Amino acid sequence: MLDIYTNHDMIELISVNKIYGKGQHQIVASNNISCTIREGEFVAIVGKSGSGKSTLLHLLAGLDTATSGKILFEGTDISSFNANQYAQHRLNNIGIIFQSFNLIFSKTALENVMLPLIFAGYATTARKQKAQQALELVGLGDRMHHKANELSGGEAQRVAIARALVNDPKVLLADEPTGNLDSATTQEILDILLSLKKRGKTIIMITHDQEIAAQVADRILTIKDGLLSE
Amino acid sequence: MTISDLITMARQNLWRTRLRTMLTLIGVIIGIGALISMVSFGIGLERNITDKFKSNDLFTSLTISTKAFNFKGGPRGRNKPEQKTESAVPLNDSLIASIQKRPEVAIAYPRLTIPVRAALYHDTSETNIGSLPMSMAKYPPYNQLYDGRYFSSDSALEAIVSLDFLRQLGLEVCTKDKLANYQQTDTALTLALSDTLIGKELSLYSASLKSNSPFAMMGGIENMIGEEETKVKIVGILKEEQFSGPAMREEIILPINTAKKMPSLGFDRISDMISNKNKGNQYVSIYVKTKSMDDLGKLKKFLDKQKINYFAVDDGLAEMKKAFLILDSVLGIIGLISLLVAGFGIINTMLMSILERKREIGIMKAVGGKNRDIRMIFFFEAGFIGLVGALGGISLGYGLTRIANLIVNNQYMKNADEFVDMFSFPWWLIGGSVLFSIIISLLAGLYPAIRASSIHPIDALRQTG
Repeated sequence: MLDIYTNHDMIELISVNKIYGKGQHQIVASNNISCTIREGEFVAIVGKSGSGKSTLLHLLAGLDTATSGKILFEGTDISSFNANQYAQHRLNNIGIIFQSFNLIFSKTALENVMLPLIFAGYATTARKQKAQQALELVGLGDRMHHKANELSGGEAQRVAIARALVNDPKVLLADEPTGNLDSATTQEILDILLSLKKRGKTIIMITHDQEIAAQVADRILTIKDGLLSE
Repeated sequence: MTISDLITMARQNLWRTRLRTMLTLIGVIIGIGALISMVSFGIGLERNITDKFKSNDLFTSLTISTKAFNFKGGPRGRNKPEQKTESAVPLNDSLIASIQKRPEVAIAYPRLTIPVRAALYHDTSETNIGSLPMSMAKYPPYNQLYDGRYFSSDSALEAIVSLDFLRQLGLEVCTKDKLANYQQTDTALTLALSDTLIGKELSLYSASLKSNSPFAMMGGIENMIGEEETKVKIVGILKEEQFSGPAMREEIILPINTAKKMPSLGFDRISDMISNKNKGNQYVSIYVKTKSMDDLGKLKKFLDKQKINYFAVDDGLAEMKKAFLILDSVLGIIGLISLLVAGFGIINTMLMSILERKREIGIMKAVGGKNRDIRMIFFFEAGFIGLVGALGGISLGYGLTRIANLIVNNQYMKNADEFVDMFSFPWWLIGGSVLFSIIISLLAGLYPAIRASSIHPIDALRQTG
């Protein structure tokens, strides 16, 4: 495999902890995690349910804040961001794909994909064009005017991928992207992710399935009881 | 996000739950409808009254009198006139001439009021006659008589009578063109065509002083006071006006010189008769009409300097305007109460919407929506309800007032010459209602918007459905 990595560290975690609750009832979801993810890497984080992998993804996305430690994104410490700064960070740099798709059912596929572009301040025509391109990239150009609740699981996940890509983020975070899909559809999604990886996207995928991780990832990290290891 | 995006999202989101939106809107519509119809009634009432004053030129005239009246009122003297001392300047022809010369004055003439017994056909009625000069012919209400014409000269033996006077003689009058659709208001009266009265002879019996000697009184009142007849021809009939022109309340009007020549007692009070106080050509009051409302102010300053007492309708206008302001405010507050209730409905609707859309809020935050974006989305939804509700409320209020107008005019004012609009919708009332509705709605949406924006995205995304 060609080494397409640059020396550019995209994300660096330094002694990151996330603790819920206090005293006797506290839960350590992330335990002193340190790692580096480089630009263009496809990293899979594998762990069982409750191991803390989703928490880690939430911290990377800025959906939650670390109790201690630092998270650097292209050298910028994002661990002390406020809610609005995190939102801007997600808008500019991060695309998130959720296990349960998290589409707005009352909106069409096109409207769901356009959502980040509305927050980014794109004009109506430009936003429509970009959304259409993103949907065509994931093979859903002919379904863009269907409501999200009219799509199959695989189609819904592809719309979610299109939405995650539409702002051309630097990093894609995928939380169990194939968790709710059958094997055929799973393969379709993985193929899409691989194609994105080939285009140079940095991808971090959370999964409980070791085989899936081995199929697509350049590097596999294991998480257990909040502790991360290679 | 642009304003256009926010409006589109508000419209789409409210349409999604249209039944709930409609029910909330109804509250706002009723609130604005009540507010606007009540305030428009108060404004309409004020407008109708002041228009009547203006149409009778009451804001460009005053009456000089021997005594002055102060309508300022206060805790003790509320609405009671306070009499000042008598004017030192005699009210005579010389004063009238000097006032007439002033550049701001259009007309000045003495107001003569003579009690008479008037007889037409076989009926009589006791009333007062007033007088007017020829120069008043072009001013309302004398330029728009019910029927007939103004006097031919200042000395003509002619009279203009009011509909009220004819009613006292048992006659209800209508014009020929209205006879077909006329509905008699009092069937006890005889219906008469106005043109049959024009040209009829009216006999006026006025009291005259035979002698003012106290010794004559000893021989009985009939030795002092007699009755003399003056015959005049009816040439015009005056419309009923609530706030008539200069010859207010006089039901029969004569040309001024005719009235001056009419036999009369020449005094108001017995004490004046005994003291022979009213000498010669002194009048009780003088009517003055100015060329404009500004000129009235100039004239008042002149009269104040001369210490001449006068009464002007516009002095009472300021007090009247205060009263209308209070009325409008009270009506507005009553309408406001229903709008405030609607505001609580908006809060309830928005809070329910947040609960149902928690997951959607989480998704918006996850894809880059800031707290401010979320706040603005819900804020605009609340404001949209306010705007649409205001437009609906204005339509409702306007529609209700049109219906009220129709009912009142058709049922209670059938014989009126013109349609009376009891309501007024100035642009500031329409604009103010819309603005107010939007403000109330935005205030109602403030708490729900803040609450929506502070939802944690992870908690929101965990919500299923």
